[in-house]
Amino acid sequence: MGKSHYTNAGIKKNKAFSVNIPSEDLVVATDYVGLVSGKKTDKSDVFEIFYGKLPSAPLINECPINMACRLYDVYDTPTHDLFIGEIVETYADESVLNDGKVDLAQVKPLLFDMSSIKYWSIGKPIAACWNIGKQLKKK
Amino acid sequence: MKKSLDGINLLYPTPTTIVGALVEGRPNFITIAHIGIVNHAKPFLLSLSMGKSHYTNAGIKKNKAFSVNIPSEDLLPSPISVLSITPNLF
Repeated sequence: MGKSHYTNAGIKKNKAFSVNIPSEDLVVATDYVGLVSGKKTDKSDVFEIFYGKLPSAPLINECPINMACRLYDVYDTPTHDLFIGEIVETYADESVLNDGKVDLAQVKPLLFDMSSIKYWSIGKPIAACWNIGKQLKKK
Repeated sequence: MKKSLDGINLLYPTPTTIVGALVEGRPNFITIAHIGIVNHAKPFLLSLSMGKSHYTNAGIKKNKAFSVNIPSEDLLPSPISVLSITPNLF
């Protein structure tokens, strides 16, 4: 996160943050909270907030996936703070779970692309990981 | 309704990359999806998270260089496609 961001100081002070995965239907609000700074605009009423075990990690009810993190380390770069979080708690909407596992087709995450400057939607699964490559293993 | 899932990592999916490095003088490649974008400013930085047991780690540390290659869907296995991956280390 760029050092000029308003949120960085809060993460450093409270040593906690949340990571929330918005769905496609949240694209407007998602873009908005990335456009305006908390320095000038109060964003505390954009979403419905809930808290888990970490009192300094506000979680977004509308996002189907939420992770509450304790600050584990900060790697300093000239322009950005690289925050490394230890995930303390994870929440998922039951509507995006299938047999207890996340179904990406239900999450409909917004994929960010710097080249086109567009949010993209996810496609379809095409092959099994740690599996399809077995056919190239040398006997 | 929210379900608590006890601190598992749900920061997926990620782009699948093929990381290249020289290990003991030989080009080596490993599929890595635990990757990150550190910034969008000079110097442009990215991160790879690679388990310590991996063979490639020593080569990256020794040579202080690696490549990150983005495969296409059509690089799903065919013997020819593996040969066509060009190391981009220098």
